[in-house]
Amino acid sequence: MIGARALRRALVAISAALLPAGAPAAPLPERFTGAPPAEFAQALEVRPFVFPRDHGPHPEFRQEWWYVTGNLDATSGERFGFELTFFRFALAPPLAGDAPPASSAWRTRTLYMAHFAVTDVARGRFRFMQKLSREALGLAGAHSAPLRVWIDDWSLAQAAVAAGAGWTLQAAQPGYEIELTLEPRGAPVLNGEAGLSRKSDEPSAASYYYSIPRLDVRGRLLRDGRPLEVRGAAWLDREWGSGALGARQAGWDWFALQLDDGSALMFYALRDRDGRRDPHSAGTWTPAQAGADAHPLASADVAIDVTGEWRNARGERYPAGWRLQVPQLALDVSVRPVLADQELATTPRYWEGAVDVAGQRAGRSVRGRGYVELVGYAQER
Amino acid sequence: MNVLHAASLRHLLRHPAQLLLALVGLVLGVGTIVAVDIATASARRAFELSLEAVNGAATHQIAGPPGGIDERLYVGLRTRPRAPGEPLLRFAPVVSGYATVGERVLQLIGIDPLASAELDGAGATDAPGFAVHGVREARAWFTDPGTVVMSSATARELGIGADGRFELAIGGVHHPATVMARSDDAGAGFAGLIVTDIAQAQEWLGARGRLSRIDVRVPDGTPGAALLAQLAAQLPAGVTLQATRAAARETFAMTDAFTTNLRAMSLLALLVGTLLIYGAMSFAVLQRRTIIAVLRALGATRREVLMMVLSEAAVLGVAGAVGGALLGLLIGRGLVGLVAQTINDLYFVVAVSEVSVPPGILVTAVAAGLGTALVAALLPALEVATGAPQLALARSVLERRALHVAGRLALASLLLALGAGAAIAASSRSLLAGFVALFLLLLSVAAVTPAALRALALAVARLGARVSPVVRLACVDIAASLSRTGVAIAALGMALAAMIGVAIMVESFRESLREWLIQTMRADVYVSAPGVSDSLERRLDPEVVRALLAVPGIRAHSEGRRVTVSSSGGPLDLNAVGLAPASYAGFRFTQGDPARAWPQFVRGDVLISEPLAWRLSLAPYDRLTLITDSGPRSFTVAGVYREYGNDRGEVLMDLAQYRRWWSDDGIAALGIYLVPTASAAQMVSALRAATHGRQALLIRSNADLRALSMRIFERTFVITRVLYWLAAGVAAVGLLSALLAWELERTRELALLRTLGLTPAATALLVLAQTTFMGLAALLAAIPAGLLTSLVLTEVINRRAFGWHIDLHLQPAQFTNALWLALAAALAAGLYPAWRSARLALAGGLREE
Amino acid sequence: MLSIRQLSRSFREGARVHRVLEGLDAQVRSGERVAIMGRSGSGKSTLLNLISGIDRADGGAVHIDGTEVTALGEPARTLFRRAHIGFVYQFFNLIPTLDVLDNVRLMLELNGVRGAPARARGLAALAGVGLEERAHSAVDQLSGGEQQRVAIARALVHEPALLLADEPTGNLDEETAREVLPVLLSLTRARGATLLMVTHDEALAATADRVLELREGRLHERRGAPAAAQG
Repeated sequence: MIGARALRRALVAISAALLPAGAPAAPLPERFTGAPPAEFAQALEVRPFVFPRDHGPHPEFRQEWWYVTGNLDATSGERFGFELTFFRFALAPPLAGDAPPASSAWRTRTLYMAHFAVTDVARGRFRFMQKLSREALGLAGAHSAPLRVWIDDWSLAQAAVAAGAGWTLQAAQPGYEIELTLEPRGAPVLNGEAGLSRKSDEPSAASYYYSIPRLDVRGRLLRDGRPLEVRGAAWLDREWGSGALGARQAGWDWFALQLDDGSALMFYALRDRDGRRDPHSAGTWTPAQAGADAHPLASADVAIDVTGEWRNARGERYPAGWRLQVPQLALDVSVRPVLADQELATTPRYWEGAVDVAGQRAGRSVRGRGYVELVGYAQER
Repeated sequence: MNVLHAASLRHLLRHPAQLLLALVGLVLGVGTIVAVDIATASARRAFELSLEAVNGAATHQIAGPPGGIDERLYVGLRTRPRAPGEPLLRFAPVVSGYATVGERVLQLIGIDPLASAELDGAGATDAPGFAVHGVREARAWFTDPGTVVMSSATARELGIGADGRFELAIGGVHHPATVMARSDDAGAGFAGLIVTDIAQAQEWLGARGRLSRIDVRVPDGTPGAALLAQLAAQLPAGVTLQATRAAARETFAMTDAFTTNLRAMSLLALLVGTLLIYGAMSFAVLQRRTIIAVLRALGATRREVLMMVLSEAAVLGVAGAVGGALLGLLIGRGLVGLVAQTINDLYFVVAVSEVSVPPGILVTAVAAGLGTALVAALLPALEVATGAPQLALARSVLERRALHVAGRLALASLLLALGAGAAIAASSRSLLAGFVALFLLLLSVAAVTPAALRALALAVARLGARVSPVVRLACVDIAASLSRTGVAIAALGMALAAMIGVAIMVESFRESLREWLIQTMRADVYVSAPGVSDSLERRLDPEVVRALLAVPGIRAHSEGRRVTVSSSGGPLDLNAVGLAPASYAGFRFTQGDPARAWPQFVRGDVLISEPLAWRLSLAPYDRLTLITDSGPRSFTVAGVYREYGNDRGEVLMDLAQYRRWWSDDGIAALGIYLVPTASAAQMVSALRAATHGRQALLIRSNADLRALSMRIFERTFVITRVLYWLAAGVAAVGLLSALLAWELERTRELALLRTLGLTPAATALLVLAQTTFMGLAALLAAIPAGLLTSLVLTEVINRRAFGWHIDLHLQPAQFTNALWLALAAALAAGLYPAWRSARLALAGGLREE
Repeated sequence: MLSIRQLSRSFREGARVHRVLEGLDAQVRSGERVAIMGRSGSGKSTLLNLISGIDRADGGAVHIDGTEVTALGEPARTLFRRAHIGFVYQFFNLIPTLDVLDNVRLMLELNGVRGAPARARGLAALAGVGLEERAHSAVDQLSGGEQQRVAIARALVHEPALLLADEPTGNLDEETAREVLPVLLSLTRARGATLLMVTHDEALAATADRVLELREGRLHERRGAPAAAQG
């Protein structure tokens, strides 16, 4: 037994080494600072975004993700949250030319990882699952026209080759499965400087980053094999690049809030090792009115106070409640997790959970829902 | 301690040498059993560990035809849309084969670490506690050619340096490789294993597009049976789903006949040990006849006396068990290598890196030791407990009783022999019944040996009486000593019979094998791809085959491919052959008519080897179902042929037919016939030159290959020899113990002879002559018994275990080991008493007790 | 024929040295019958062992018919013993695995007499003690007196010059002793052998030509005079 376990440990160690470990929808993990990014394309300049092409993969960059979170209401009245994220990570740049003829079809330089989490509010349950696979033999991969990203039977896809075409999501883990269709309520919003998102003074530590802040969701959620009709709103984040976090950056708090007046706020607060906010923190405000442009928010534009705290089973502390103030938008809201424990015990560990929003916007009361991601609070072991 | 036990214990302690020697016999007997258990268990454990190491948490596996499974099946299983609510199955692909590093054959496992980790994961994810190495390792694993992982110990054994670079050969082709990571705590399962990425394994093993198997993990607590049935229904023809444990059991079950034989051999040592304990206990009881009679006269009950003797035996038994367990651990360590070597030679590659002690071993040891001692002591205990408390019995009464016992023993011997015959006659297939018969026969030998010795001694005494009272004295002494030495003589006779029987069996087997090799190996030169017999990668490069056959001087050639296929009766070895005309005569049919069978063979019937015919109870015109690439298909058996190369048996199929049913066009071996003018040696060099730089093949002349086969044969019998020497050792110790005891007892008599004028040298010679006589007499009884034993071994045991017919070959050499053993044991046992008798202090020697 | 000079023998018991014989002297003429008496532990058996060469002396010399037994090596002593000395023991010491005749014949065989002559002489010797009928009996089927008679036959069959008897009647009841004793005495005399017997039995001692008493490691003639003085 011991021997077998040890071997499995060895194997698991190998696979752990492969984990992109870049936390979702956020700058690149410091773990990769050592890797030579020069072999890959760099996100250094503003570039034009073309859809639906840019929904698809960008293999010349080292990493990339498709990231969907959403809040759902079942016809039964029960409330759910979900996260389905696909990561692409290249171990080495693609080889020029075709693979040698003697190559096994399993040869690959690209790995995929996916996380699927469900927050079952009524039952107080949070369940997640991770998949890791190689881009080979159709086991995992991504292609455009039409878009499809998948690992095994988990997938995110567009039904047609059109910029505004609907999306479908499919994933299953023990106890929970989703089959959802998503209709975008508006064009993609480019974050940062026209889609170029700088994460530090280091020019290479940047990525191309856009969001679709609101998609109407309908479909089925299966709990223990029994289907529930669900409706709700989702958020899509897309990011790709080749860089890594700055050496002093320890983690981030990411907010994606959808207010009931139709507007949406995205903000990520980068933290340094002392817990202070990094000046490269930034966000995007998407107004409710159709046609009105989204505009970026700088670090100084947003004030965040932590109003609550949660400890995981290992005793590590996460913030669990915030007051967000954006004076230039006359926005003052409190943000609370719908469930305290929405931590994914993956590598790395992070907290990614559904939240409720309540407060004032331009003197009127406003409510909303959203997702918050907290990275860098747990020790990696 | 009560006075009763104190009295008896003091007596035993006053004869420490005797006690010690009885204990040595028991310790050796128990030790042999324990050692064999440990050796077998270690091999089994190593096998299981390596399977477990590779299978991980897999509960089932999907296995396919010899060519492996199409990898697209795996992709389909992972990506297919699932029914709503369908439980999650986890899958991991495995490509396995063998690689040679230097001289050593190691298992090569190709895995997808991501899938394997997922399969092994405890829950939905298995993140905690990962050791994070970093991207560099991941990158090396996936993108650097030749990256492997192995245990530090294996890397050390292979002499791989700090840079991790080494070269491995697969199917004769050399590849550079680099050890990326060495696991220090990988444990035994990782021993002799090279792990690499599945892509690399496919490329090295030439198995692109194929998987050896798919590991499956069915989640706990789900209605697994339904799920499995559903999964099995989705599998294409020729692909089967099997529980991992069942598959492992099935594989290891290949060695059943071998391990059963080992266990039987170890039981022989214990049986000899049992006789020794019996001897020692009855001697101890006999010596205390007076004490016990006094105790009984004073009022000790029969029960108390019985318990006294039995509790002594119990103490002896436990001490023997503990000593035996310890000794077994020691011998077991030595045997492990031999057992593993034999398994490697005969069955599959297993690297035993640690000795594993089966949990029940102490129980086995105590049961064997205690049980043996109690059973052995029961008879003498009953005799003294139930007998009338006579204070003194005239010597002649005792001897008349011994004579009576000898008569009864002769009768018992006859009954035992009849029992052995009955056990054989009443069963036709049972191996157990065969062993029962073998042991009954050996016991019969044991029973008859003392009687035979007595008869012989008395006959010589009668003849010698005319010549000399000293001869008569010596002979009569021997006959009279049987109450002391009889059991040891019986044990010696039994061990000698077993030794002779095994020697004849091995020699006969060797001769049968030699004849078979001569008949079967018709070609002049043999070419084969190196590797483990039926592994996939063992194939000749088609280019190389063309180059080989283009060498001038070749008259004809045979082609062969040996694979494992699934059948309704589990995995079977299939030997697909395209025969040269001259090769047909190499098969000796034991059932079926060659003139009819060969044409049928070409048309699609199969031939089966004797062991397979026996194992599956198949005869000509029976049908055998094999799982082909297009599903189960039943083949008619056209004939049964003699084959000693594979104890599980094989199916012989025409190569063209094989290719029709299985998508595998590889060839693993060629048999090359030369034109009359060509020489084998020159052809070997020419063929070597033709393959140079392409594929390192094994190219051997007929004579070389035959010699190699014989070498492997010898190696597989080493363990048998070791075990029978152990049994012989027990018998020798027993004889030594008994003779010592006897000599101690007759100190007075020898002293008297010395006083009357027998010189020290003559006295010593007398003692040596007596023990030698005993040894030779035991041998004399053992020779016919050994012949019978060899018959049982070849005609019953080997036949039932393997289905082999072995022609008996008798040679004087088969008896020489037994002769040496008999002489050595007798002389060794006689030397000390002889020396003692020559140095007797006469002044005190005649004092009354 | 027997001459003993300054014979001494001591035994070690732990740290203590027990002197059994200290400068013992004795002379016995050929054909003489000598009884040796003394308390238990006075060294009577030791003396017999030294005379027969079973045991070795610490000092002094034993001459038998001109041969210095004490100067012989081990094999030579054994060879001398079996040719010239016969033994009768208190406990008979017959060999239980041999029958009566073979017990007697054994002595002849040891002296090189085999086959028919040995058989004839053995039977004659048994006839001499009145036991030719029991020639093929097992010895433990004989009574004590019969066994001692076999022992006497065995002791004399090879016609030794010196017969050593150690309490020859010690293990026999009075009546049996009265039967056995004449056999011993008459046979010894008939063969002209010298008889040296150790005994506690005054009646037996009375049959001797001389009685010596072993005291404090030396022999003393009965009536107080040292034996040597009469030699």
